[in-house]
Amino acid sequence: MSTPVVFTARGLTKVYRMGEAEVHALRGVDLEIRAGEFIVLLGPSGSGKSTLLNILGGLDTPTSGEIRFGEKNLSRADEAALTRFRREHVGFVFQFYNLIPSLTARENVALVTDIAASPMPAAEALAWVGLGERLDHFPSQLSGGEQQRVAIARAIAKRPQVLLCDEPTGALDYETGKLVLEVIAKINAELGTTALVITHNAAIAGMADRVLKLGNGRIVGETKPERKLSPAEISW
Amino acid sequence: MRALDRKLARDLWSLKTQVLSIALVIACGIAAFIGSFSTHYSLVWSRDHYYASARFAHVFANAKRAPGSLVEKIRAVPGVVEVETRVVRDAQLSIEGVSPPMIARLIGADFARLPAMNRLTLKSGRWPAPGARGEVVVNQRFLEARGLKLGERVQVLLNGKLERLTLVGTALTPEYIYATRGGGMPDDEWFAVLWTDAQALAAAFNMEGAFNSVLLRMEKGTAPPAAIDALDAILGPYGGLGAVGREDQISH
Repeated sequence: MSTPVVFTARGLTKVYRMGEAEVHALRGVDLEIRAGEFIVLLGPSGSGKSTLLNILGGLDTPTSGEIRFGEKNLSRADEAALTRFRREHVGFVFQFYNLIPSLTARENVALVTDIAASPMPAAEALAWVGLGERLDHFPSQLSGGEQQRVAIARAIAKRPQVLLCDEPTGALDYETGKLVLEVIAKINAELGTTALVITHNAAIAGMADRVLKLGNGRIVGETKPERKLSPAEISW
Repeated sequence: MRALDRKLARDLWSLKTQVLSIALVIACGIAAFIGSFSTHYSLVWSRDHYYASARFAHVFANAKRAPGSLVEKIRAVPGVVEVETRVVRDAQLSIEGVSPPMIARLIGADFARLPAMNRLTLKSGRWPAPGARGEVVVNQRFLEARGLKLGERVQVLLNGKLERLTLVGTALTPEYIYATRGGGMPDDEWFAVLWTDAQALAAAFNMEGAFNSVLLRMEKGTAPPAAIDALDAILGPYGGLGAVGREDQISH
């Protein structure tokens, strides 16, 4: 029995209008993502990686084409339906951690567990990212890598089916970046969460089940590494 | 407590100085608003209470010379409850050593009875003896502005004849809280209101059996335009100058 399809995209386009000018961020993307996959999106700035991730995560809608999450058609969903979809199914991790400075690590995660349907306890989510001992620390008392791990704990606490990461190591040094990648890989492997990671760093591609290369709003290449590497095995 | 509630509580605590300042500013604003509101309410209440106790008229009209027989006709206007007629004339007033002469508004009053409306409040002195000629009550502010004393005399030119009038009392009336002759700014040094014996005043100006000022009290406390129009129609042939409701009365 084949693994179920999580996302199906057909002919996705996205055009931004800036006054008279039109910017074509996506120019017809066809894509299928299966449950439990670890996908890395590679490509230069302006290639459409973030736009694609935002449409997959329900933060944006396509100009044309169709995007489905399972049987659900996201391209026709209204704002309320997209909010519900994000709340129930998607965890986001961005380059910047977007933590609330006046809340502790546990309370930042609780922001999500307070409204999710069947979340894991905040302490458990933090234990998953290796911060079980730092539950009551405020963001200002944590390093950049630790803050990013709190952000990951916040993303996974709702037990999402999909974890979407946009440059999660972009603001981190080498060692800390690897630590964060290890956490994402562990979540993908042990919780079965489908993970999509945007990066400029081609070395990270070695961790993926599949690597999609974007260029000029299109998928210009797809590779499957012969052997999936652990974060410890990659270097850049 | 939910995480968002904690965030709110901590953010407020970290901004406590600003929050306290803003709260104080708001509290001051509310206090000022309540203060102004209650002062206004209190002033309106006091005014209304004073008007009620003085039975301040609801409609005011003046004419050149109207016969006393018109009273019944005026009383028949729908909504009219009470009618009071009187003689009111302006005359030159002089005080020894003061030049130029001043203006006195002489209002005829029957001191033997309580007037039906625009009742006077005696502030000092006494009422003139009923029927006594040459005694007047003056508005308090003129007396004070001129530094006069009760018992002093003023001279008034009544229809070409100089009369000496003795100031025997001071009074207040809602009709002349804002004492002005023609609607300008009040000038208490140069404009006096004198209440004098009605019969003597009528005789001096050849107004016996007639009146040139009429006051009305209305059933609902306000004058409907139709009543004002009816009063104007009645007084028109007698030099009526146009009736006004209390809201347009200058002192109000």
